[in-house]
Amino acid sequence: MSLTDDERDEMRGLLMDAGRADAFLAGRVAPDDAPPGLRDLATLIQAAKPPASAGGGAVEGQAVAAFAAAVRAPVGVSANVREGKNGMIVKLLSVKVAVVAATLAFGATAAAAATGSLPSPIQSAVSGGLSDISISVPNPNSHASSHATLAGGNANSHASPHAKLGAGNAKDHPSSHAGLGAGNAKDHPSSHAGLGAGNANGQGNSGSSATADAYGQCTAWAAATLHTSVSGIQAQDTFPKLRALAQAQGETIAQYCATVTRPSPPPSTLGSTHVPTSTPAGPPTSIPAGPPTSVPAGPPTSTPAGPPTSIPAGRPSGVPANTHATR
Amino acid sequence: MEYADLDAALQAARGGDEWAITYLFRAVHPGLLHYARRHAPYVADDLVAETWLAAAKGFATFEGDADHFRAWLFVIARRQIANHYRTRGRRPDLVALTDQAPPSAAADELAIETLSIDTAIEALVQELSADQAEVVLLRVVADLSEDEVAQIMGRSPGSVRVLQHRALRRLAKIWDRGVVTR
Repeated sequence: MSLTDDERDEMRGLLMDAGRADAFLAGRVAPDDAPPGLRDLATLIQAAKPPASAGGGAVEGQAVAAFAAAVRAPVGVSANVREGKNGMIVKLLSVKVAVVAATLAFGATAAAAATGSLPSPIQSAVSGGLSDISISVPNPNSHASSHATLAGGNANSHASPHAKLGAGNAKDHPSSHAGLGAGNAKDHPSSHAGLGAGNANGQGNSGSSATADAYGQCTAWAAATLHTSVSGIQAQDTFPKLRALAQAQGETIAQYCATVTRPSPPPSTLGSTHVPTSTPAGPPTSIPAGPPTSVPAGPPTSTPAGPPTSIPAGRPSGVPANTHATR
Repeated sequence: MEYADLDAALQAARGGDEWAITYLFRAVHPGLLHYARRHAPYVADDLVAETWLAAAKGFATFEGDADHFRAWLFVIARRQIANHYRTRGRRPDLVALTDQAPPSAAADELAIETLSIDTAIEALVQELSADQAEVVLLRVVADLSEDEVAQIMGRSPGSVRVLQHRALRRLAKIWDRGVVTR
């Protein structure tokens, strides 16, 4: 590389050329070979060059062990988790994050997917993804069957609002869900009734506890797997029990879950999965007595057509709660 | 076990030869330690230990010869030093990092042949500017080439050459005592 004009100006005042200067700083110029005015400097430079270590220190042992372990680690293992305390911290944190994320994934998305309350495109995607491994969650495009397939879906389904709502209304208000496409409550005790029947513990259905447990874990694993691309977490690492079950069969988790069947539906009076085949003809013949015992969850699925036909009479019965924090 | 040179040791180290790794360690560690002592004397041992552990994590993917390996370790060491000062709330400045300089002495009071390595290093750089001192440290203590120093400092090789020439001119003036103290 050629020097700039400024650099040439700098060089003119030197006692030696570039090559000699390089050798000087590298310690290759012995004091006896140095120009008379630079012998002390040559001696000083050589004195400042650390000799090779005799070795034996604690750091040497740690460093050599760490290097050897790094070389022997299998290809594909993250450098951060090969060796060293930082790697261990990262590994521990990864496990914690995986557990939290899997919990969130299962608690939020899986439960939301199971209750069919995700936005339609996402619901479709989750439903499609889980169906690949033989796990059913509602698909917005097949509403009539979606609720039925929820029975036994996961541990949260037992406590889901839909489950309580469906079971209660099927008994108290047989026709109240007709507008939602649930079918004739008389002929089909309400497909929503099936919502409350299944749970991971096998309560209230004829499936064994082990089957329900495996099915629930597979559902949670599938939900966590769907989030792997977002969180970078390996779902299989957070389901040791499931992994053990799969390994006992000599299969991967995906293979194992593909063979796990949904627990048997509950008795027809409570957990029918029968899908209505027809729509009741004509308007309801009676109005349910008394107020509803529960409130449907989720937003309305349709908007009333046309403008309001009347104006509410009287004054509002209350005022909106003040949501502004007082200072 | 002896190796023909650092390149041979590095090649063997890649295969997990612990003797080769030890050979590399013993060749580079002293320079790392004295370099770190110059910048952060009270935590130098810890910083160099962290440097080796950090290097171990990346060793499986390291590519290059022994010179690259040495330069790579000093890059890591500089990062460790910068992190040390950053966590202490001070702005990291790799050409002006000094916890506390060792006691210095005028050139004419020093008997060069009796100097410890750290004192010799301090005698070399104490009168230089921060940039010049860093170049001299990396050239003399780390045993890096001009090009490697330029890469590490983020300068052009020509700029490094000018800095080292200025440093030599300054040092020659200081150490031209007219007497060889041997």
